[in-house]
Parts: sequence; C-alpha cells; structure tokens
Amino acid sequence: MSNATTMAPQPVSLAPLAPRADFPLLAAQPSLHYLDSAATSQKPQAVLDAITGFYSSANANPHRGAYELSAKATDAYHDARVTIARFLGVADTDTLVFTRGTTESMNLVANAWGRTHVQPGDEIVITALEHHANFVPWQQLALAQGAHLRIVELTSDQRIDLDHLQSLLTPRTRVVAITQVSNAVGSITPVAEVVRMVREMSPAIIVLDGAQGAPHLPVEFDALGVDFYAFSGHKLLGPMGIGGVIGARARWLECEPWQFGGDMIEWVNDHDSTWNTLPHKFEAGTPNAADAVGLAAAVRYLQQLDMTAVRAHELALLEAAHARLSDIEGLHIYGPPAQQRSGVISFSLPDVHPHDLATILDQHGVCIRAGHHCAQPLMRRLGTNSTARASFYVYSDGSDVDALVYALTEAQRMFAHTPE
Amino acid sequence: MTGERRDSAMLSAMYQDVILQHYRAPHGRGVPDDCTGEAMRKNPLCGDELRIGVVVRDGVIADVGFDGRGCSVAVASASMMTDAVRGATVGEVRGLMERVDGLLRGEMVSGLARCPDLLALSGVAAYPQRVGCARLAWVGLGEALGADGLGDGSRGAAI
Repeated sequence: MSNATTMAPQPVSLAPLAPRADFPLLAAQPSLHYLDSAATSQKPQAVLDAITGFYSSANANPHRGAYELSAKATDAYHDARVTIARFLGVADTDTLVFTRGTTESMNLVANAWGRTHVQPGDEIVITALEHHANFVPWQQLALAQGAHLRIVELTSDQRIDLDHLQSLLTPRTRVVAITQVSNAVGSITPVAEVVRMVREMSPAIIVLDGAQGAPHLPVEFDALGVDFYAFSGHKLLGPMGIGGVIGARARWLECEPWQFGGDMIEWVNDHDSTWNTLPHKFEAGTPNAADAVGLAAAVRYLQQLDMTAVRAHELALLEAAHARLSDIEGLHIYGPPAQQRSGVISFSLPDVHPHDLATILDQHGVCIRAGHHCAQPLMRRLGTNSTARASFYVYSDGSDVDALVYALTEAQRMFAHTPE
Repeated sequence: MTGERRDSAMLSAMYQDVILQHYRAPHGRGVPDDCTGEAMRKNPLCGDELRIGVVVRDGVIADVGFDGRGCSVAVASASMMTDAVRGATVGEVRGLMERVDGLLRGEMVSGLARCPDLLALSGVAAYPQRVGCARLAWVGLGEALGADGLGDGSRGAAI
C-alpha cells in the first residue's frame, strides 16, 4: 500500500460465530466479504434443506385436505409458527400472523387496525429514523384518515430524541410506530423508555419495527410491552417472502380483516361471511408454508448460536471496525457509539461518493450497500442523499473488517491520485 | 459483483483520469439564469439528483449547465455533456445522445469530436449498475429540450 502509515495496522482477529461452511454461498466464494446482511442475510444449508424437505415430503395445501399428507403440511406449518413464536418470546403462539415480511406486516396493522381506529384529527407518531416500510404506510394512513403525521426528530448522533417524542405525545395520539434498530445507522431504540413514555402520555398503540431488531438482539415480545411487533425472515437467515407480525390478543380482536379469501373465513353466505379465528383471520389464501418451515429452521440455527452470543459477536466486530475506520483520514461515521447500535456501520468519505465506493469495494470482493437505505427522510436530515453502509452478521469475521479497511484505503488512493 | 470477478483493468477503464478530472472540477456547473428549458432527474437507486438547464436560441444550444449531487460517473458525464452540446444544434445533440447511449452499451462509436473526453464513458458499459449514473444528465438534457426540441421542456421525474 502506497499510503501505509508508519504503524502497520494489526489484522482484526475475530473468528466467525457461525462457520462459513454452513452457508453454501459463502463456502463457494471464499474470497467474498459479504457486508450487506442488513439488506438480506445469507442462508445456512439447514434452511435450504428444510424448504426442500417440506416440498419433497410434506407438500400439500395446509388446512384443506382430509388426507394424511395435508395434515402433515398443516402440522409443519403449525410447528413452524410455534418455533418462531418461542424464538421471539410470545407465549400465545396464535397471535403470530405470518406475512411476506415487515413491509406487509406494517401495511396489515395500518389497514386492519388503523382504518377503524384512526379518526380525522387524530395523530400518528413515527420517527425520522424509520425505513420506508415503517414510514410510508403511516404517512398514507394519515392522508387517508385525515390524521396528522408527527415525526420525531433525532439527536446529533442519530438516536431518537426522546424529549421530542415526549413533546409530541397527546391524548389524540393513536399510533406510535417506531423502529427497534435503525437499518441505516444502527441506532438501538430504548424500547422500555419509549413504552413507559407512550403509556403515560397517550392512549396510542405501539407498533415496533423489528426488521433489524429480531436478527440481531434477543427479543421477548411478552416483556416488551408493545402492541405489535413486525419482522422479516430473510434478514435472520430465513428465506425471502416470509415474516410476520405478533400482536397483543386484545389488539387483534379490535382488528378487521384486511384481505379476504380462503382460509380467513369461517362461513361464506351469498351476501355476507363470517371470519375464522386468529391467526387465520389475517392470513387469506394458501399460506407460504414452505418458507415458514424454512424460517423455523433459521431460528433453530440462531437459537443454537444463542442470541446473546450473536449480539456479543456483532458488538466485537463493530468495535473493531469502528476503531479501524476511525483511523482513515476524513472518514465520517454516522450514528451513536458502538454500544448503542446494532451491527451496522454507516459512513462517508470526503470526495468519494458512496456509489463509487461500492463499485471499487466490489472489485476487492467487499459487498457494501451504497444509497439511501430506503430511509430518505433520514438521509435528508443527515444532509446527504446517500451513505455507504457495512453490516455484519453471524458469519462475519475479522478478515471482513480487514478487507473493508484495505478496500477503503484503495478507493481513497484512487480518488486522491492527481491526474496529469 | 459476486459471480465473475471483474479485473482491475476494467475498474481503471471506468475510473480513467479524465473521469476523475471532470468529477473534481466539473464544467458547466450552475444552471443558467435565463434557461428556456430545464429538467430535474433523480436516480431512485442512490438518491442522486441533477438539474439540467438549457438556453436554446434559433435551434442552437446557446448555454447549458447543471447542478445537484451525484457520483463521479454522474457528475463527469454531466460535465462532458455541457462541453459537448454548447454551441451545437438541437439536431446535432440528438445524434450525440444516440452515440452516448451506444457507448454505454459497449459499442464502438465515432463522431465524438465535439468532446473527445466522452470516449471515457465507454468504461462504464462493463458496470450495468452504473450506466444509469452516466445517463442521468443526458436524459435530463433530453427532457429540458422538450419533445419538439424547442428547448422549452420542463420535467421532474425519476429515471
């Protein structure tokens, strides 16, 4: 390296928590440094096997046939729900409704609860940290219902400004929708404090966006004290197209169905219908049983690793990355100190646009995300239109940090080079 | 890119010095006050946005400029575009736009005498995710010129 400093950097010696060999894509590409797990995680063989296993030994339409194979499919789907519910700490397993993921979960709550409970003049509170999945459904609900959208601003290190949140809560606040972990900068929300504040100041329901929380932190829904918790499977080693929303049973009972069709009905008359019970009332049509089974395999894999160990592993990587990146001249890291964030590090280099960074890093086998991270309201507040983001997961290790740092210095060298 | 790894020569081909020079010190920075047509182009993938303004008089680009934020490829392409089209007739600009599209598809292209630097854009063709960056300013120019080429277009949209 032409710009090597006098003190040669020490390689980061951190082993992966989960062996790369468990992940077929990573095993096939040993030189790949996949640092975009906040967008989607890689999948272990156990998950692929579970999906194949369902299709090759249990495939039939759940809840439909009277024959044994259909019963087997129904059982597999049911067992998957129980496994995932336990992983997320909810005892009342039927309050976990499967969806395609966090986006659909938020749309479900905004429609099934929001349309009947948010009246003109009511207030909906979201934050400037939210990704579009937890922003646009509420923005549109507010527009449709004639309600006011209130946006909680951030501290200078991109944490939710709790004082501002408190000042926005009123007896008219009907919904507080807030992320557990920011996808763009990694800030972890102090959920207990938020819950206490909301309960004290308003009658609002609390909708927690766990898209980035569930993969990276131990979650116990029953202890969170929120009304709804949404999550995506593909960010926690599971397949794409499956996720869910857990709700307090009392809140589910207030909801109207939002999609209509098979499975969600109890009885269909010519001119009206009655509805099935939880969770089926909110799962219209043939369920995505195979991917639910795949997701159950993913959470079993994570349970073996232990979520406390997952958190500790990411924190160690984050601290190492933080220290190494801080040594790069001019590099700016967004977000709070490592202890207050999940395994995401968002940054910018002066004079090198994040899009250019991503291309150059890709050349070195380092996959990072460059862009607005589906969080344009946050980018506006950062005074930029994009950042570069590296994110870690269970298969990440010290060599990923080393590769990131090396590639960044190469990018910097390339752009610093003065043309003739 | 995960499957086939591109070689560093391809990267150097995209980040040629001429691209970096235009990026560091872009030509045509600033939309003319008296523009007859302008357009705002956004790249929804990265959030970049460029505003292009033209002054068309008697079928000739009397002035052209841009502002906004973009990556090296987007800004360099916009910078070269202003060099290439200033003083050209609208008809010439249309031809140039087609040749730039060809370059970005990886085709051999001639007729770039108005701005030989444009040839450097050919390196972008190997990076399909970046072609949109290079096209941003040119699509904006097309909109600023308007469908009839009178230079009175006005649009704001995503590519």
